[in-house]
Amino acid sequence: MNIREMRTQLGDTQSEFAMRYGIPFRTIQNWETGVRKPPEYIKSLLEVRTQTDLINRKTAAFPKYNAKKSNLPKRSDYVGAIAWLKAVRDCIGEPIVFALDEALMCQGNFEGRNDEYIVWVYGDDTVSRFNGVAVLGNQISSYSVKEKNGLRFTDFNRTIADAIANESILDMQGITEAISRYYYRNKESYEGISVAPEDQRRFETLAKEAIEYYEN
Amino acid sequence: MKITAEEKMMYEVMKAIYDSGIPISFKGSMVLKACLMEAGYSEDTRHTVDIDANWNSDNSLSSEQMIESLQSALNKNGPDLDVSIYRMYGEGRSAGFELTEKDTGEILFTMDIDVNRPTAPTKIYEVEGLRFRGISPLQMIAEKFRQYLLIRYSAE
Repeated sequence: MNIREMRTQLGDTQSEFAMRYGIPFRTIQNWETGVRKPPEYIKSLLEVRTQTDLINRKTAAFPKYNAKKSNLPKRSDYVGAIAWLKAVRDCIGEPIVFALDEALMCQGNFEGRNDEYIVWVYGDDTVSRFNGVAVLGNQISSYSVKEKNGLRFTDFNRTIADAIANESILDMQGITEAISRYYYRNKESYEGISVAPEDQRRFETLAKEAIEYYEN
Repeated sequence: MKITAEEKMMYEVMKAIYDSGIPISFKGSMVLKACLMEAGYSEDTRHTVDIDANWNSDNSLSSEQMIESLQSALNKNGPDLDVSIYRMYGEGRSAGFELTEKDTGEILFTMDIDVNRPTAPTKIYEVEGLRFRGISPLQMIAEKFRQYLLIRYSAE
């Protein structure tokens, strides 16, 4: 994998990538344009690091309603989240990977709300021409993507990592319900879930809340 | 306030359970919506896609008994959905059921049922001709107040 591929996987601009790893911006430019070649050991180290950091993609911002933008199909017009997400996918008409709450719906871990408005995706920034679409990143590793019912979505581990990374702007109810569902479906076990070391402490709190979620 | 096709299906499930005679009374957002509609409230409400209920029986219930009763209720009078349990009830914990569309295998919504908790006053609600038993409006307010107190005093 070359430097440009590593950077675009993260959804970073050259300056974001430079800042992320403390590498001079000019060096990144030179590496990508072929003016200079990065030493092999640097490439190997960066590759390991970018794969780890793929769970720390740029934090998305809530999209604001804009009357000039197109609107997506409304959740309330469909029976079942999958029918709605298929309509959203067809309306967008470009390759997208559903993320966060929409990924949880594809996984069968959460059914959402009757007035879902924000649609979280990985995809090209051009999909932001639709009201309600929030782009988490432009590219995502195929290892983190599942496909079912003709819909592409982040797997459960990646969805948890995305939720933790974006917690400051998210309603965590969906992810908490989904983690709870996972726990009880798996005979009261979290086996199979893996999170990055930096997310471990936060996940443990979420996991505890998920067990207590249906207690009153 | 109007109901969506999905909410109508959820009310059909509630009606089928009521008609079957299972000692279940509903609560939560679906009952709140019915209550507000009866009162002529026009603003749309926001809620997750689930049905909440109390199941009051003289005996303890096994997961098989609950699934069999609910599935039989739906087969007789309700939408074409499969019922499965993913969380058994326990001390202070509700039972969790998934209602799945038979053709596609998609989970359309979930049901959270508290089993053999103290009984609450109920009344019959009707939405677009679909009748079911739900907790009384006063009880809904009491439960919200209880939750508020729990949150307030657990934070202190």
